[in-house]
Amino acid sequence: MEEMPWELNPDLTRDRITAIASLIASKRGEVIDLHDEVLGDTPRSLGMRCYECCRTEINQVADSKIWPWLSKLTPEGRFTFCIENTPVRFSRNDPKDLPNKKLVTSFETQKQMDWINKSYPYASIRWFIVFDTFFKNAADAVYCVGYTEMNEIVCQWQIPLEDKVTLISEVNASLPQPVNVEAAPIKLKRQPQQKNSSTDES
Amino acid sequence: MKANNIFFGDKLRLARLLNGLTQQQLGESISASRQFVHQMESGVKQPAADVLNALCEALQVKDSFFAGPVGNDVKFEQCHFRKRKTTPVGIANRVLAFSTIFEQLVDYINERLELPIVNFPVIGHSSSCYSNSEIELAAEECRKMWGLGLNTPIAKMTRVLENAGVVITQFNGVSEKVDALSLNRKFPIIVRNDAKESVCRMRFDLAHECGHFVLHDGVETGDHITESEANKFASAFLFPRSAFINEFISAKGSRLNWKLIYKLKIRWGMSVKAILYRAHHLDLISAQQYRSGNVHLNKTGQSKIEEHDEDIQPETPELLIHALEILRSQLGISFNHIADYLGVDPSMLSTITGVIPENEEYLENVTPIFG
Repeated sequence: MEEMPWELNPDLTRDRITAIASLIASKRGEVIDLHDEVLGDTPRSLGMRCYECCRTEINQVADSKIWPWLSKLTPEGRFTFCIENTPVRFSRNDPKDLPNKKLVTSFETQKQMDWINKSYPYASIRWFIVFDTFFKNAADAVYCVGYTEMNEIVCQWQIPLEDKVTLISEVNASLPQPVNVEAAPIKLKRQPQQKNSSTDES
Repeated sequence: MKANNIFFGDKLRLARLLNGLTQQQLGESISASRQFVHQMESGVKQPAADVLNALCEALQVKDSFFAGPVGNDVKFEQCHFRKRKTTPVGIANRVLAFSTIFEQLVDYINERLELPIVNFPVIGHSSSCYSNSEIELAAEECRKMWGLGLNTPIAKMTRVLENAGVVITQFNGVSEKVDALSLNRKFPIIVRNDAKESVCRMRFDLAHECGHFVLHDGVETGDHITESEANKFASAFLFPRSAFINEFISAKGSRLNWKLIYKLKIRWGMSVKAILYRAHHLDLISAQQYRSGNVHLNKTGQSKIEEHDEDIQPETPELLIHALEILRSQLGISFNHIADYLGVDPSMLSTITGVIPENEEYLENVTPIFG
């Protein structure tokens, strides 16, 4: 369970997984910026829009060949892309509760997996980039998850999209009372002194 | 205004936006066409005396309002504005017009009174976004600079910012879509929506805008990256990591300890939603716990107003009210005199400042000393 994706499948390098997860997170963020409840947007519309925009983005990047290791496998329906030769899908969910229907592979994926089955011992693993996040957030936690044919998780790696804050604390710290700041001071501006002619004369 | 006085069309636009009217609506209220309003705003046509009077009445301004150029037109990109991409143009324009007039008011006050010196840490930063650690340090730097320590709840967030030179005002009735905005031009100003009922949310909004002042000077904000940075700053500023670890740690476990979380809410004046966000950000709860916590808040009707909100001490901006009081008591400048200076009706000034003047009538015969 503690093995990393790239240890089970050399196509899934750390950099590639992080790059694709960042791409999806960024697109999710852009879509969330446009979420408008006043207009009538709902969690469902947000989810559908996020999915479609991410799918389009991945297809476009794959077409552009910016990342030579990225390609489209099933561009519609059970959308699947390939990292090198390995089929990968994405989903927003709890990795442990990924719906069974989501785990059903596309026809192209099945063909691809049959083809690579001879190359890797773990070729039957189905790989997902899973966004475990509150629907209005871009990415609370993102995982690269591998599922067996029995839908069991064999690998779950949390993708580090942001740096972790170092936790520091004073030892044996008491609970201080709230700090009460005084009201902000204001005073009259000093007026420029007028020249007193009588004083000058004297 | 006399017939030979110049009429500035951009001032008409400003007054119209301030009242949240379209050209069509203004035209209807003064019995003129939309095209004519457009021509007046463009400077192609000047209003006749009767039209001018109608404009003044409809827009709650005086004829002197139109006699000079705007001068300090606040631009959209100069404001830190949440939900920027989904805010309707009309609402955004109204808030900008509001900010423009408010800035003129602060300028007027600043000419006569010594306001607190603007005092924010300068964060040297070259790249386009901040790491989580950098944001944490920036918030701690602010706390240290303002003598707040790193383990102490802040009793009054408004006072902290006012001491740092920020002028805060509140408005109501514009739209729930604009919860708060800030601008840092001549003076750092925060305009917050009075419609928000939760004190915790208001405190978080203020800390969020403070984050923009510290992190995003000269940066166009409003997207998920900068807003997320300001949110992280706000949570780090209100509840620093060292204190959070000390006080939240006992809540760690497979289930969220709601009792403790509400206790922390009351002590730190921070919403449960923000505490969950902070706990997840510091990796003290899992993504699943964070998600289920948010779902719980939504399901129990606490997405906007939470339990125990009433246990947090309410806060109102004091600096502006205090300044107006000094102007009145020490310089004899009444609320109405200021309204005259700005060329707006006192009712409009009241809307802008959130101040309802008391006993102003007797001052009407007093001549200001330094007005």
